[in-house]
Amino acid sequence: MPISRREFLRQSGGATGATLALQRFGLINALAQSGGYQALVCIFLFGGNDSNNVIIPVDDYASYNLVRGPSTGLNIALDTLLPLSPPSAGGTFGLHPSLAALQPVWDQQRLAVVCNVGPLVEPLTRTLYQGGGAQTPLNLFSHSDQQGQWQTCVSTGPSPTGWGGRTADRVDGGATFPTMVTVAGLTPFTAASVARPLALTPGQAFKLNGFTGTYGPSRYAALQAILAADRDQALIQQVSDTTAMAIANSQALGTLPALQTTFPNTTLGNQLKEVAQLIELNRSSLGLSRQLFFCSLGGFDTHSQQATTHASLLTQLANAMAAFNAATDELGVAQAVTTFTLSDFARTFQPNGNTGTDHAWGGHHFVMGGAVKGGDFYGTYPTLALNGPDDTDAGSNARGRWIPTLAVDQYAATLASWYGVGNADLPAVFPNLGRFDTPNLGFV
Amino acid sequence: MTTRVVAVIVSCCCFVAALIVPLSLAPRAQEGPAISSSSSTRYPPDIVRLLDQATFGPSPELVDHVVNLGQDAFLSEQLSAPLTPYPELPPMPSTRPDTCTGTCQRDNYTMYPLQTHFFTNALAGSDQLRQRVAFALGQIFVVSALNSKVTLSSWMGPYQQLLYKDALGNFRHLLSDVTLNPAMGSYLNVLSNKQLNPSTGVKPNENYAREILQLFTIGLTLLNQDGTPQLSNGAPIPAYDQAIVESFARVFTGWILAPAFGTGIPNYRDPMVQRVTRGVEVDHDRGEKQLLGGETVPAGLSAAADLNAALDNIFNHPNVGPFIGKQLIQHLVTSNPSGEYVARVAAVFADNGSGTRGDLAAVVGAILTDPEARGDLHTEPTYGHLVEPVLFITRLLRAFHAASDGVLASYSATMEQDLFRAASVFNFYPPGYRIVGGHGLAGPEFKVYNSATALARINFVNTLVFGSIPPSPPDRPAGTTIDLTSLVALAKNPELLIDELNGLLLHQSLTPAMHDAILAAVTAIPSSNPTMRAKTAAYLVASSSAYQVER
Repeated sequence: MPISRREFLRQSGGATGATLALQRFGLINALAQSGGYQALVCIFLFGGNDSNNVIIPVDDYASYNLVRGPSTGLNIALDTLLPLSPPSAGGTFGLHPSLAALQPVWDQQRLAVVCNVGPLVEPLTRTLYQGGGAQTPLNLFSHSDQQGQWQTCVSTGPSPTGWGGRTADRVDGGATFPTMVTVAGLTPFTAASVARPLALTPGQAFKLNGFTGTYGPSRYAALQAILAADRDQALIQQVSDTTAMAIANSQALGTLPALQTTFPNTTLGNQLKEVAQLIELNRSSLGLSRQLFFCSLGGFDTHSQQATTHASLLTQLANAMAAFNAATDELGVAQAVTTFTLSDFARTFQPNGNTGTDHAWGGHHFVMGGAVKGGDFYGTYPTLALNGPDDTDAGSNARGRWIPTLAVDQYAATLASWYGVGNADLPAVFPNLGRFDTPNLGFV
Repeated sequence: MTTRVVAVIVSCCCFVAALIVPLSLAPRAQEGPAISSSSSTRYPPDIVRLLDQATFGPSPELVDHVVNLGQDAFLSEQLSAPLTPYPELPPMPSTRPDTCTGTCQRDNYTMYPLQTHFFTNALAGSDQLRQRVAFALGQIFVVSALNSKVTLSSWMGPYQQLLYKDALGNFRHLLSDVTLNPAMGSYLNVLSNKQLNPSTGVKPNENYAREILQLFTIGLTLLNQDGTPQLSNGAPIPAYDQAIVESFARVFTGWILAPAFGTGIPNYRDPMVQRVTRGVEVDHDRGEKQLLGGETVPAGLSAAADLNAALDNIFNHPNVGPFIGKQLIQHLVTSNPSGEYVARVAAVFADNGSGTRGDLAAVVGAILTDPEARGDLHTEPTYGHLVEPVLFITRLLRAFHAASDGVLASYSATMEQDLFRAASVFNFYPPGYRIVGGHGLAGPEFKVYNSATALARINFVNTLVFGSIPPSPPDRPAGTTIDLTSLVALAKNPELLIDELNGLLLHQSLTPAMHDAILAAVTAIPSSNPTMRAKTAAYLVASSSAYQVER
């Protein structure tokens, strides 16, 4: 386990002032170059990704075809599936053909699939769920609630902090430059008690304009004085803090370095390009030993005419992830960067009458990176049967809403442990983790 | 000076040039009072605050107008002000013809003409209150062109016009209109929703059923009339369950578009209609359905009868008053209203005093005349709300006599409020958003306030105060400029300059620390350069946190 920056600071305890700053910079830079650097990159698929059409069983295609046959308009034909052979699951599965760019990454053993993950309060069986014998997440099947639960690992009510934020508070929380960067706006994932995320808009200069000319300096001094004043008004203080933080960091950020890797010019492509550039900037000048990034892609709420929309979103996802994978090779950080997906929920296995699907629960997710034990599945692929052993509902109401067999807490804790959250800190970052048997799923 | 230009142009391709709006904001019946040497007499803080809450921003002339008229008479005037419409855009084919490129594409297949009209209406329309409430309602009843099929301006236009029309009407009427509007029908799938298909088992679409309950009317949990959740053993009580969602999904079946205007030119202007084949209603689920509160609709009813019964059932749920009332308070006045304030507004929602439920004009009146909204000085540390990007832009322009073509949407988009293009039905920000590190304080608009948008806001002020948005035809025919002449005239005396800004922008709440900082920056500039003095002072106030948090 690499030494955290906080430990560095402790080790260099005697030094002060400029000596400390120099020493710290040198040490961390050395760390970054010797492989001590690690980054997590979150890609949130907003709206609820229909993972039933992302990973499809080839060996048991008949079960898939029974509910999502050609007449539903949602069928992915058997002969178009991209084959995956996960050793631990056995048999053959198929990737949606629009994810073609990810198949080489799977073949590189850098891509893992984690099956049927979702928010849980405690381990759940179908019997317990239907009988009301266990606590379940608040407001199931609601976008806002399940989005929050994936990002906070708190499923019993609102949480002021996210698991990304709590992780950042414990790993390098004292950094002088924000360890968390969101390129997709503010989100519960990055909410922390101490750490504050930097928000950047991909492709847009992060810069305070003006202040040239004779009277620029005196006006700038006044701007700073005003930001520091009147701190007794809660809302005003919030605005001032964010603005002051933005101005201070805009000076350190400067121009982002160019990359050789070509990224697709898409929403997610541009976000991941910015992330890769920030990783390179960190290597060349910022010198953080840890970074945590948040990206997102919206539009997955495919209630109608799903097929074309979903295919296009998956193409965007795969092409952007594949480019990012290539960029980590270009930057020599493939082993140090782990990318993963989150999403509100999966969608009903059984379609609705608009050739779309509705809100469901457990779904499959991707984890990508050189440190990932890829080319395999983790967890248990659900039984694709309405009213089957994984379905929430019985009888004619059953639509294939899979009860998760892995909790988001387990998925997230595996990632956070790799990132550097020690075992002693895990209960604070993931308060519910202790309720589940396997705190580390072992995929990274 | 006194001309108010509100262009309503019907043609599809070239109306923009006509929209250069010399802004003069007040109805012009009365002349303002003589300008006093002190802003505290010209700008009574509670009148400026009312205009921040009820309009797209106070201008000096509008302040004068309300000083003359009085607050109550101004609100009455606003309630009866004629509606400033969106243009009626010609229906176009769903698929853009290859010949429609350039300005044709811009005006028919993007939100550009509506975004531009939104801003010109907000900047110069006389029906400020109606527009402001419609803007709030449009962020509760969201239809977005992003991640959606509603990308034609002629599809979105009638929906936005509907919000103008219903903003001060009855909430029940709004519910009907929204539910049967084709843009909403497309966005949340009432359009072409069908009953269960017995051969495939395919079920009705749950999208609208879920969101009308969760976002448009009652919310997820049972509420007290003061807006707080009802608790059972310390836990909130769900307002409905999945079975109710599935039941309402069956209610909202059987609706299709009204007859098309031509082949491939669907009708997004008129309300949706029941699908009838050879005199027989099809696609609608005619079974019995569970509604809220244990009510049912009996089997055998038509799509329209079911819809009516279901909307009545939702409308009469006791959550609607506090749920909608609190959100309107948050949009117009303050992010953290007291429970008493919410309850007073909810009571007016329940009964406008004449026995009518859901009277939005009465609800808005109750919000704006409440003691918690009014008063000369608000010192409570959590009072007020962060001004959202669109209002941040319009307030600055209206305060300083802007001339604008209304092409401003790219600026609000950079501040994460891309008009009519929210990321999802959950709007740009959720009503319950809590400020990070804010000890539980709600601050919905803070969802879109981050390091990037903080700089975008300040940079917008810099652009307009020290320069302008220059014309760039054809998309930006006239650009946007503000006029600081009246400030320049005061700049010889820095105290008068600061006093003017304190009155017009800050409700006389300027603190000594901020005053001293501005004074130092202004007096660093020689009095022979009054323009630079005026710009410096305007920049420092307009970029300040105190101006961005309206209180």
